[in-house]
Amino acid sequence: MKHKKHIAAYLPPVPLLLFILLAAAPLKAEAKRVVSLMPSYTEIIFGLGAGKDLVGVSNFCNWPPETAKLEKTGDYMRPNLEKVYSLKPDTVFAGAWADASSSKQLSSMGIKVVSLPEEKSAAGIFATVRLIAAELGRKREGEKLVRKLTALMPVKLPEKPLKVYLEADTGGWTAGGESFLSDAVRLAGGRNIFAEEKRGYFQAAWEEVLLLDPEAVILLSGTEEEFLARPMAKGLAAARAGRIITGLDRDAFSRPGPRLFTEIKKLGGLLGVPDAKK
Amino acid sequence: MQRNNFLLFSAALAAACLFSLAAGPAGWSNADIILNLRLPRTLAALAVGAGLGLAGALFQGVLKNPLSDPYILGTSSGATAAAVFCFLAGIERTSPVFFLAVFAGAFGATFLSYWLARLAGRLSDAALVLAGVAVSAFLSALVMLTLTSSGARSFSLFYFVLGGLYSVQPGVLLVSALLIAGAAALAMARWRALDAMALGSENAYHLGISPERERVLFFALACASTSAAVAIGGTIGFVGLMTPHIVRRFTGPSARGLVPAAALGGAAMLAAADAAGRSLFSPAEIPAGVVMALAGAPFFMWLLWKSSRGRN
Repeated sequence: MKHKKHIAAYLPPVPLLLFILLAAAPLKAEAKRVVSLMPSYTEIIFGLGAGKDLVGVSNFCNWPPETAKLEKTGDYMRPNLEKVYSLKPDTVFAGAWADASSSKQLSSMGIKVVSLPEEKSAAGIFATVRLIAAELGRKREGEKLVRKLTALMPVKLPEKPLKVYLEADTGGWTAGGESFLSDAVRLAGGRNIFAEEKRGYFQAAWEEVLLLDPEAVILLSGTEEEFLARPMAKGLAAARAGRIITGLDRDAFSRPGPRLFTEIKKLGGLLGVPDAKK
Repeated sequence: MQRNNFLLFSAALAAACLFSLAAGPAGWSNADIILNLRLPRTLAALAVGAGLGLAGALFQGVLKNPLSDPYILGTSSGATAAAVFCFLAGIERTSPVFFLAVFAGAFGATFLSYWLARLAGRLSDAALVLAGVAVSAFLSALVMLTLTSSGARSFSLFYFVLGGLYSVQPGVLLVSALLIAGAAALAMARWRALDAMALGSENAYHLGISPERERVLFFALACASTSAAVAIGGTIGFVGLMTPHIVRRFTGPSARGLVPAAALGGAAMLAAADAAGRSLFSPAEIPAGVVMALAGAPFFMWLLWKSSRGRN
């Protein structure tokens, strides 16, 4: 009897242990199947070391080079739902840009859609990194990535930042205070001349740009020559100081992803902000 | 054109120019901005508006169709499609090849609409509009397909397709303005032929005018004028539709007064629309094409309503 009781005392932990093992097994054996509908999410996922989990990305996802081999699911506003479904993902990361009805349709097909809010600042980008990391079970990698990106930002910003006009696309398309690009300019030691505008992207009237007289101009498309050919462009403080910046990586700077921070550092150098760490 | 009418149109044009030169966030005391920024832009709006107004008057006269204009007939879409293909092929906006290609696109699209509408036999207003809509829709879809699949620079090309006067190259403006002036001069010189066409092909024939030849000639002039306008400002609709209707009330139906008045009226209308677009929502800018569509689409509906009542 004594002996029998002895075994029984050990019985309950065995099924518990088995249960834990069984529950944990699929996590280990079967990798996640993830679809990213935004280039920035794709870059974040690779930054978290989870690139292997990706089974599909948007047509715009072209970084890192490994994305070339991944299945493409169309653009991020209207993803090709059948294509997404056929990839049998267990998680789809959709951005604020995505059409709400396509998210709903994917959910109704039994696919988990994680809709992330639009990033309006560097802090917003960190929030996205943390959300994606949590979703992929890589919280530690998420914190590591945030620390790495934070380290790229200048510690001390200039007291009198340069006035910056950022042209994302020719024809005066620029970013207002609601865009992360405004924050990127601030973190690089500049000040977006349209930072007070309560909107994301808009077409600025050229006359307004002339009036605000930026001390630096960032062109993400078009050439310096084309820019200076505009009426009175040569008289801008930026043109006189030779601060028409065309050397930023367009994709990297216009996506709220990890590469933006390298570009911020580069822009800081171009704007003449002293490296605070020296 | 009667003297009173001439004064009236000159006054409207002067008012539009003044508005265009005075409107903007810098106010009206900054001479630099007025001379170097608003003046070239006003000139561009005048040229594009005149070109489209002229084309509208010619199309409406030669087709005897109150609903026709370069936008409805597919002329603008043809020109825009050709321009977009030129941009993607790397052909400069100032090269003669560019203007030839844009003209060919405009002329081809217009004739296609005309030919389609004639297939049914008698040329009816509705058939022409339908054919134009079909041709425009197809060409716009082609442009969108090209832009979506090309990727590079597509955003600024979308802007071109939308129509606007944000950045105007002086070289393009000069060539286009000369083309439009030439087309206007030729059209005005042939006002009698245009009036005869308005009486119907048969009557025109009896007046010693070859309707087939005149039709091709006026189509060519209207297309040249439209393509010059598109080269500057992309697809801007409804100027060609609205102005002839408005100025006809003052000049009467004869092409002698109508054609120059439509050119002047179109110039005034677009200058005002562009000035409104760049000053009302400052610091943001609304492309002139959007302003014109806002005003012009209801006008088109009103015309349709009026023409349907006229038939009953």
